[in-house]
Amino acid sequence: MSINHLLPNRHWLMLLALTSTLVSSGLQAETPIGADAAIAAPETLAHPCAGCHGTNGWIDDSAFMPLAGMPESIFIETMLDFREERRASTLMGMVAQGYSDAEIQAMARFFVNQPSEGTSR
Amino acid sequence: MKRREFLSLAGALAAGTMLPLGGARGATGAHVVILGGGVGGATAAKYLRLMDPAIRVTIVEKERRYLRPYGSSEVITGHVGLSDLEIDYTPLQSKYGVTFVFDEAVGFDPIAQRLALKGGESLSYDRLIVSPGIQLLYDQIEGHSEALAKARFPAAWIPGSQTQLLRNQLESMPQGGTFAIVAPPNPFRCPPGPYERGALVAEWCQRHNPRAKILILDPRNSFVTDQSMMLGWNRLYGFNIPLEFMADMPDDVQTHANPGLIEWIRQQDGGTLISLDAGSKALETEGGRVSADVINIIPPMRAGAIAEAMGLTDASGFCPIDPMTFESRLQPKVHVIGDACIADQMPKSGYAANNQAKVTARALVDLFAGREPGPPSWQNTCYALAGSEYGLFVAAVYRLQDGRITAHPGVRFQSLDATPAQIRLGAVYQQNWLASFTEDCFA
Repeated sequence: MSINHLLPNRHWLMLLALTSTLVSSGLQAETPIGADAAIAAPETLAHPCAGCHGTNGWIDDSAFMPLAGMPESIFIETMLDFREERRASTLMGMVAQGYSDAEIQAMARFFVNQPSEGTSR
Repeated sequence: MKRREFLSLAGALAAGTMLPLGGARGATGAHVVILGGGVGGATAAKYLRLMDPAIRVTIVEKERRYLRPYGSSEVITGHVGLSDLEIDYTPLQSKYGVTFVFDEAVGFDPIAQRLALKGGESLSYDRLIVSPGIQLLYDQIEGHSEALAKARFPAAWIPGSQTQLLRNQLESMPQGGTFAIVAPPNPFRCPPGPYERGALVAEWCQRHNPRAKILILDPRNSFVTDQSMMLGWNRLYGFNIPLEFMADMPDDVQTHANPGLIEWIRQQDGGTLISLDAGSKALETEGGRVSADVINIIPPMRAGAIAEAMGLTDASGFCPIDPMTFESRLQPKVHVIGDACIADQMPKSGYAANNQAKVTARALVDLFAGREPGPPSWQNTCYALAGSEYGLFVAAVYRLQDGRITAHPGVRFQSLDATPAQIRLGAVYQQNWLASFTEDCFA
């Protein structure tokens, strides 16, 4: 059983239209981390996600959402929804609370540039 | 092996044969040697090769196959077999071009940057990553020994024959018998682990040995997932939650007139172990003598023996490191990752080792390129089960703050008012994580 297969990339594009306005408003949210803290490189911020979501965000046949190729606005909106507790989760709310707006944007940029087909196989 | 004995073997290096892959240091790309093919070592190798294919990576590992410790308590209850823990090193070799040398380091020359191997060869490196995991200190418990652990009182904290022995002991435990788990003192690998094990054994006993008793003897008064785990114990096994942990508990928590399978004996209730009486299968604790049919002692632990032999450990038995690069504070150009290192607020977990490996790989790529390593970033997620369909977790993001690896403040555990769907999903994710995490490390 694969939940991934229910949400191939082209469906993200449809979601994009629905969420783009929310994204622009969501990013106004207060940055929870000290603004003076140096931000890690996008790949450094993104690699920790791989323990569940797969190396470079590519994963198949799993309950976890693949992140490779995800449109930036979808990634950002989803993370902000988790962080601001607009969306229920198991642990993603707690993970998202650890990141500033700038860090979430950096991760989004990293994942959108990863091939969404399984290049690691 | 004692440190002096180990270092003296460095003299043997001059006479040893150089492996071809260990030659030409720096000529065709840097050479990184990794001691230990566990979660930390494997992840470091894979990510080094992904980040910079010009870097040559050699893993020195004793065993041809890895037995994953994460999820290994599921062997004790027969949810999976011991062979299901086996991980094959072929993908790291075929997909990422990592060289494996199935051997052991017996000598170390930090100045010449060379290792001597038991097989007689030597390996030179530009940077060395040591990811040795833990060793269990059976002898620190009076009356206990490694021989007794292997034969009668398994720890089953590093998977292998002791895991199978504990499985067999649970199956043959008499009806109404007592299964005692002795939790180790801090710091230890897998902080939610002893309590998850207690839960899984209780779930098995509910079906197969309903009058059994599971005792968790603890040198602590609290543990990492405590409230969410105790809520699961209450709902599933009739555990009575101590008053101090009742704050914010949901309305369905019950006080059971006849408490169920699990009994948690805290430090303040005398849970600290004093000694093992192997002859009469009993434990002396601060609270008195406890007899049990199955005794699972998880002993104190410290960094794997090789770390001590190489002079990487301090008085704590673990390895001090610079958290920017995981370079040892005691030996130059040697990096220590995983359970063996002192990673400040990060727990000794597989997820932590995997994330430390990635930070180290990035730092080495930068150092080889003559760049200053950038700011690191880490996460930890530990899923735990209170039952096979009852999942919970601890999760946090870590960053460097005032030179220490520091957890982002806030709630890190499953909410006590999590819905049944969230609890069930936690268990689904735990099983999916076993696969996705293994793939991120090893394939």
